[in-house]
Amino acid sequence: MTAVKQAENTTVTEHVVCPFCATLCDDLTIHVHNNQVVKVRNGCALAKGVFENAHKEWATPRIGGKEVAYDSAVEEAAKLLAASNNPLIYGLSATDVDAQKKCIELADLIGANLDNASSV
Amino acid sequence: MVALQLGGAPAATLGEVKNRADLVIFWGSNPAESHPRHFARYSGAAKGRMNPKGRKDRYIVLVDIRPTPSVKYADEFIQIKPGQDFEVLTVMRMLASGQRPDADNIGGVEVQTLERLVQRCKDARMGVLFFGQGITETRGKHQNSLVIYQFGKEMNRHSKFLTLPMRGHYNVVGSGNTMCWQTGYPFAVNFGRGYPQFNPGEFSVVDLLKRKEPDAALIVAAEPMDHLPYEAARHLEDIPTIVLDPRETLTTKMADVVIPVKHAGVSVEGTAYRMDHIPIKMRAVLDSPWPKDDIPLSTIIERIKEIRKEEAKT
Repeated sequence: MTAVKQAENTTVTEHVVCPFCATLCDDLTIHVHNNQVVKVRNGCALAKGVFENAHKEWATPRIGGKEVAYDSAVEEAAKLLAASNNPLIYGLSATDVDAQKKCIELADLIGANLDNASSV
Repeated sequence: MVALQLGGAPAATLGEVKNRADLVIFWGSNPAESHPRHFARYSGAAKGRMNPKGRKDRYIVLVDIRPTPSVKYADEFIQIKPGQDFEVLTVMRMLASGQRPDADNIGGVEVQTLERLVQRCKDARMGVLFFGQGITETRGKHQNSLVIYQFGKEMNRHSKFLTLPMRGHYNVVGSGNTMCWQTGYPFAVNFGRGYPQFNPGEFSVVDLLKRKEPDAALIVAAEPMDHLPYEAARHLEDIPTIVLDPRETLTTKMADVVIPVKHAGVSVEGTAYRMDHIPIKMRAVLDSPWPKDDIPLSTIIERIKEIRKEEAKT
């Protein structure tokens, strides 16, 4: 990791990989101040969009639109999937390999349909 | 993906493209807007071992149904009629094998133009055909990709020739690879019988949702409400839908359960596969209060096992 602390609450990280398109450019330099990306070097407009907006609009744990404790949301998800006869697990294409493996393990456990963005 | 299984693909890494390719064709792809640095890093201006002058050492052809911002990066733009990719590519295969069609104009393109393009492919030190959603998400779908792979194979009798899809989502290749490794199949898998079955059309997401078959859905790092056809996505509004995502999306807004997670490549490290199947370790630059997505998924797995045990007792 080549994160270099510059000033108070500011870090500069080199050789950052951009998680937007499958070109996976791995030469970005990202300046972070107070847990917010303030500068993206080497990135295209799409990369800038990913990093500069990354601190905005974070999701919150919710059930039926109401904010709940994290564990309650996870518990509700487990109950819904356990009760399902023909569940669908879809996505996987915008996360890392470890999460994909867990999705497959879960699909195997509950007899789910499993699909990713290749099929669209 | 289906085309890959039917035909195989002459492929190589983007590093090979950068170092060796002197002919680059983009078909149904607009990299200037969808993959903006692809030109600079691999396929256009990039200087490579056999391309020391970069852009000047490459001939770039763009094939699309309309001019896009990518045209200005190309030496030649060939405009074809919408929905005619298969026909044009099939004629290119004919021309490659020395046959000539009865018509002078195919899909809005003069046959002479195609003849010249085929000759360029034959004469190239290494040619690459990158194809995008204009091929894979229009009528004909995998048949279009298949005819590209077949053309690529044909070209390898004359020169070195690659056919590579311009994959979209940053780890869509990883999702296919991981599913192949774990289940044997790249997508559209069903575990209903206790073992993986593969059947695109039956177990693919759009078809399942259109037929309103699933009775619950778990969406992990995807935006079906935005990206899927609405006639499919709207079924998610009628069934319990759980979404794991770092950020608010159209899908989290309609979901019954939202589980926020860290953003891979932004707030947590992780591995993703580049479009040429090279695994790359991503870094983290921000902090996030939420766990990485495999943690709630593991908890869900453990809880379901417990629920099953309790049910078995009663």
